[in-house]
Amino acid sequence: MKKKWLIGSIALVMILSLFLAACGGKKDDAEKDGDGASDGKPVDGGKLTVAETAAFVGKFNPIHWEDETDKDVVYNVYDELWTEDKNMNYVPRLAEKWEIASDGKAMTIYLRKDAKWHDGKPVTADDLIFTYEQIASPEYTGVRFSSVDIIKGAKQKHDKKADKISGISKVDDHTVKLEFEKRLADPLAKVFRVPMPKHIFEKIDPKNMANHEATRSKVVGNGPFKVKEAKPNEYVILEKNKDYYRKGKPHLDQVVFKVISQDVAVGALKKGEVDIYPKIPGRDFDKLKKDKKLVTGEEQDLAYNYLGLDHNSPKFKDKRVRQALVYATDRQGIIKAVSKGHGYLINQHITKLSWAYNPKLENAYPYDPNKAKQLLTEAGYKDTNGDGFVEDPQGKPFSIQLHYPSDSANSAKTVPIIKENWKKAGIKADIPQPREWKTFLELLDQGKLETFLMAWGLDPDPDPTEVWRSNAEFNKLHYKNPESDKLIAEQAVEMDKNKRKEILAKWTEVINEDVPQIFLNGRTIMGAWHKKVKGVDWDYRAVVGTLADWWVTDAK
Amino acid sequence: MVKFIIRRLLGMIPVLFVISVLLFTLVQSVPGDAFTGDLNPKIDKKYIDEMREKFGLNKSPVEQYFIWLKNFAQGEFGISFKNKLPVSDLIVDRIGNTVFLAVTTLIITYLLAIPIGIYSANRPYTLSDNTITTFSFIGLSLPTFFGALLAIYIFSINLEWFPSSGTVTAGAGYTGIQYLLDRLHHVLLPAVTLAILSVASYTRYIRSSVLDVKQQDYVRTAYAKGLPRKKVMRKHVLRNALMPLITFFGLDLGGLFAGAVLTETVFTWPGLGRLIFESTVNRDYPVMMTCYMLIAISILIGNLIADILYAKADPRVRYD
Repeated sequence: MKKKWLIGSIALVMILSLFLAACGGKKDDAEKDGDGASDGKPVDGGKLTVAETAAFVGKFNPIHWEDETDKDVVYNVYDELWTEDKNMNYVPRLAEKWEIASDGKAMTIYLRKDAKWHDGKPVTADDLIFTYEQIASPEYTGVRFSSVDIIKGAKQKHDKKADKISGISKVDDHTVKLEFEKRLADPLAKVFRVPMPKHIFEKIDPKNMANHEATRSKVVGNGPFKVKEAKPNEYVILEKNKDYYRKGKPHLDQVVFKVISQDVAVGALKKGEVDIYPKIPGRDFDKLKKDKKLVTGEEQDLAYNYLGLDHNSPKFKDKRVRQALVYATDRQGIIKAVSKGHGYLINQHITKLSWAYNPKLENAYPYDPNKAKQLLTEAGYKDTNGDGFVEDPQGKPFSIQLHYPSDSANSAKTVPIIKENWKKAGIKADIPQPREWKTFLELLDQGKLETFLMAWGLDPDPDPTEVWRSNAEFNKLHYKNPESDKLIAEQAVEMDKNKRKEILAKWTEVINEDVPQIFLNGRTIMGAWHKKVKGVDWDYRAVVGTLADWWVTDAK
Repeated sequence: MVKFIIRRLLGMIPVLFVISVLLFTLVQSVPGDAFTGDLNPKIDKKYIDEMREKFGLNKSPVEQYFIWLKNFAQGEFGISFKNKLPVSDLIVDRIGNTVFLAVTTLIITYLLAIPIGIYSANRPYTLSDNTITTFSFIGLSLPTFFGALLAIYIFSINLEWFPSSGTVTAGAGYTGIQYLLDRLHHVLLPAVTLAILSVASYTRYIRSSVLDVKQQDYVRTAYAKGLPRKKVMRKHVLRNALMPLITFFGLDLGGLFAGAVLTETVFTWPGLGRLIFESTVNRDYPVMMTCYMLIAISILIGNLIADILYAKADPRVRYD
């Protein structure tokens, strides 16, 4: 439930947060780089204005939010049971501790006793159970069921065969035991972890929950901030929760999320209309870095760009051809030209920030058009008619269509570079008209795109099951590999982190050898803020759940 | 006249019906639906299909159309797929902003365009006329988007005269006259940006219309019978020359509800234009259909009002 998978964003959010965010891993000079650790003693009070480049939808509800902007509010108003820190280690929040059964099929969650809802009522086991029951309810209209259906009996409730989820039991007022359908490698990553207040929502018809004022404006959370005023198309104002259970936090009295057009945000930041601009596109970031009034931060994000290959197409049957395509692609050149250097090479479906990242693949497939030519020759692809492009082994013309969605300026710049790169290795590529986002997805669903330039947003948990299993719904590559499937299944139930890491390393190596898709580049997340803003330890989380640690020096 | 209006209003019903069928067909034939791409590897495809079922997207298009028509005729515009809010709430939320911006724009346009157009027509092909013509063409060819950014850069970021975005100051909690002034402060920059474009074209129309009328025989007659220049202008030239403005007024009125997507986006002005754009991108059928129908209705009504005004302004036009 952490980072929203980018494929699921609406097109607008996609334009803003998905494709323009392609960027690079260089460190700034230490003085200007955002590192909250050296900012001194926090000051309480003051106001912080945050630029949001997409409007809020206004569903400030842990089980109903869908957009990144709404998430920024939800995760500062509601706390999680546990959360991932900068290095993706679990940190307790509403749960003070947890125990996982040795067979990985159950866990017990111990809630803190001092956490309170914004109206003063304590956060209890009943709230957590109520939240799970709501999500499993057949009347639920949101999209979170997949993080509850792992609990025994949740599916039965969803299918109206039971009134209650059988796998949940209340041990006492602050302790909940969950039983799972099957053994989970890391239940903490899979279980839904943002409780909502039972005493508020039990009175509301689940069908109307998403548009009820308890979701829209009168939000009762338990996090460091409360919603003071919400005008989703223009701004959302949060105010300090004075009774927050983490003593001494938050420091800020008020946080204003101001919706502002991406074209105006840079000017507004310079002028001081906003204090921080998270998620800056690369082209604007370089300009802001030169501004002496500002501090900038650039860190690895969880998203990466790739060129998908449809394995149902006979063109990509031969592994050597796929390998040749990667060797023929100047990926570093694309980072330089398209992302203005804000990005890094990536060769696996695991973020570099994760404990499971396989460093051995760091330098796989360097740009080498000659190697590409050699592999193509081996596979029987030769230029028989002397036009500079190879023909397939049967002597027929060979060319690849590069599909991309029209909403993305960066994709439009990437595709011609790939075409030129491939030309040097004798591979012909065509660039058809780009398609509008939803049209593109529809064609992708129907398997009508032989290649597709897209992006994945990764989860802190490295489990590749939902994307890479041969029969996974999101395996749009139609990639089938029994060896990969076997490793994926093994890691999904391996509770020993070190063993799981080994299995995942093997899996990434299998994928790296087999080249089911062309990994292009990982992205960085860039932010800039005024010097008065302190305590910002910039990383992939941006403002999601991090605002409680920040303060401003001009607090009154 | 009353008969005429009633006849025209009744005539709108079959027209709107045909428009609605066409719109519904168009909207349905765009690839994808609200739940395409609303996919997340953590969400089973099955649950997405359940959502389609819940929102009635699995029914045949014909069936869906008649359900929509029945609800629409009863004033039930449906629930937005994306926002989960009633469509009427979404529109009400934005219509005020759209009308406020459009009316301010219209006022600025008329206040500037009419005097400039007349001034220009009275001195055809002189240096000042040519200058105005040049600027009109620059104004006409300036993309709204660019004009809006330029305006923000100069007046908001450098001179700090106007706020760059929003309709009110966030969290200021103004009331009464202060609130009104705050709204006005926010609307001026986008309104002027939009007005500059229409001023450019209005000026051209008024100029040529005035020039045209000035060459009419009745104007020469008026001069011949010894009327002073000012009186000829006021009574004979302007009254006739400004008649075509009624057509523009009718069109403007109709276009009012279409909003101005680009300007609204740049200025973060939550109006109908952006709602229409966003709902189309998201395939939010209930919102799309209601907005498109609203535009169709307002264009038809705008035309009707223009026709009525013609009858009032021009004694030659009679509808009975």
